[in-house]
Amino acid sequence: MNFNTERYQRQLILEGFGLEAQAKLSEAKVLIIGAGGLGCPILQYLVAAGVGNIGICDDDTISLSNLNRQVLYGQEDIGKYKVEVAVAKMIALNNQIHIKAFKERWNQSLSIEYFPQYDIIVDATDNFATRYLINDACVLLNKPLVFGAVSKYEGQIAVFNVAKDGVTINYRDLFPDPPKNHEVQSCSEAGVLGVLPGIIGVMQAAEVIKLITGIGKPLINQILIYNALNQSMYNIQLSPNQQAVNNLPKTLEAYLQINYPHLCEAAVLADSEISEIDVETWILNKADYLLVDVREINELPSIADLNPLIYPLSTIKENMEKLTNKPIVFICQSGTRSKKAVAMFLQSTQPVYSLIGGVNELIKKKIIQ
Amino acid sequence: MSIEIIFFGQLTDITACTSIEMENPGSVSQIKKAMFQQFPALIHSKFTIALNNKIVQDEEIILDNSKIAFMPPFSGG
Repeated sequence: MNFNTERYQRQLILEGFGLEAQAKLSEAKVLIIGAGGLGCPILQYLVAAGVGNIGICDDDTISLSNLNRQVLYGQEDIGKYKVEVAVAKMIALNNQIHIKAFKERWNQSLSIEYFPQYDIIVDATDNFATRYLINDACVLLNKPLVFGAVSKYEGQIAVFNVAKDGVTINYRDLFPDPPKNHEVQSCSEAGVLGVLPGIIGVMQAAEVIKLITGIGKPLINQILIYNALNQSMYNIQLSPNQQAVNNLPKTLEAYLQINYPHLCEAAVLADSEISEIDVETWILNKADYLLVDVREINELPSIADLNPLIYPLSTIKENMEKLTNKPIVFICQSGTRSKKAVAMFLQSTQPVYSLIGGVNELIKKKIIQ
Repeated sequence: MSIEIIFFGQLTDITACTSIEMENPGSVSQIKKAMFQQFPALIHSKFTIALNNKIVQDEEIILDNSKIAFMPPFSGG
C-alpha cells in the first residue's frame, strides 16, 4: 500500500469505498487542462483525495480579476504563472502525489503525445477552440472526458466517451459544430458568479473520483445543467448524432490538420480582413488615433482616463458618420467585439483597427488600474 | 393543451425569461419557428433542444404537457 491511511481515513471508512477504492485513486493518472475557475477546485480536491498522478496545464498568468473565483491564488501571486503557483501549493497539500505541469496552451500535438499516458482527461478550459480540440482527441484516442463549463449563473457537467448500454457520446453529439465567436459570449464578456466554477469544478472532481473507483453513477450519456440562482438542476439524456460523426476528424493526421481557433471565428471576421493593433504600437502613437470603446455603457473597468468615445457595438452602425476624421482604434473587454466593429467598417476609406486583447491587455500592461 | 418551454444560459438574455407556456404547435420544428418569430435574435444563437429531458431532432412530434428545453453551449471555465 503506497498511501498513508491516516490521511484518507475519512473516506476509507466509507461503506463502498475502503482500501480498494483508495488504491485505485493512488494508481490513477488524471490530466486537467486549465488551471482557472474550474481547474483550481478540481486540482485541489483530486490532490487531496489522493489521485496519484496528475497533469495540470495552463499558459496563463494570475491577474487580479481571477481572484473572485480562482481561490487557490492570492494577491501575492499576481503576475506569476498559474501552473507554477498551483503546483507549489499542491505539493504543500500532498507531497505523495506526482504532478506534471504543462506551462503552455494545449494543442493537438500535446493531445497525441500525452493523452495516452493518462486514464481520464478533464476539460477545465475557457474557450470553444480548446474544448473541441480536446473532445476530438478523446474520441480518436478513446479517453474518458470529464467536461465542465460555466456561463454567468449556470454550469454544465458531463462525462463523455465512456460506453454505457453500447452507446458512447461526445461533445459534438450535443453541438456538432463549434460556435462562432459572436454566437456565445465568454466569461470575460458575460461575467460569471465567483462561486459557480467552484461548484461545477467540485462536481467534475466528484465525477473523476466516481469513474476511477467505480462508485455511484457517473453522468454518462447525460448532461447536468446547474443554476446557482434557484439551486436547480436539469438533466438531459444524450444520444448519438450523425452530424457529430461527420464532423469528427477520422484519423490523427486529419486531427493535426484542423485549425481549431479558426473554426470558432465568424466568416466575416477572417483574420486577413481585420486590421489589429497591439497596445505598445497604439500607446506610442495615441494622439494619431480616435479611441472608441464598443463595450456596453456600464461595463467595468471604466477607461475614462483614456478619453474614449463610447459607442456600444449595437449602436456603432448608426454612429458611423460621426467617426470620420481620424484612424479609429476600437476597444472592448477582450478584443472580440472590437474585431466585429472593424468588420462593420470594412467598406470605409479610413483605417480602422481592433486593439489586441482589449481592456484586459491594458490591465495586464498596467496602463489602467 | 399547452407545453412549457425553458431557456438556459445566455438565451435568457434574449427571451428575458427562463420559461414560457404556449399552445402545442405539434413538432419541434414548429416550436423553433414560433420561438424565432417571438424572439428573432434566437436565430443567431446556438442551442440544442431537449424534449422531456431527451435531445431530439426537428421532426420529433410533441405531446401535450411536454417540457421543451433550449440549451446553448457554455464556454467559460
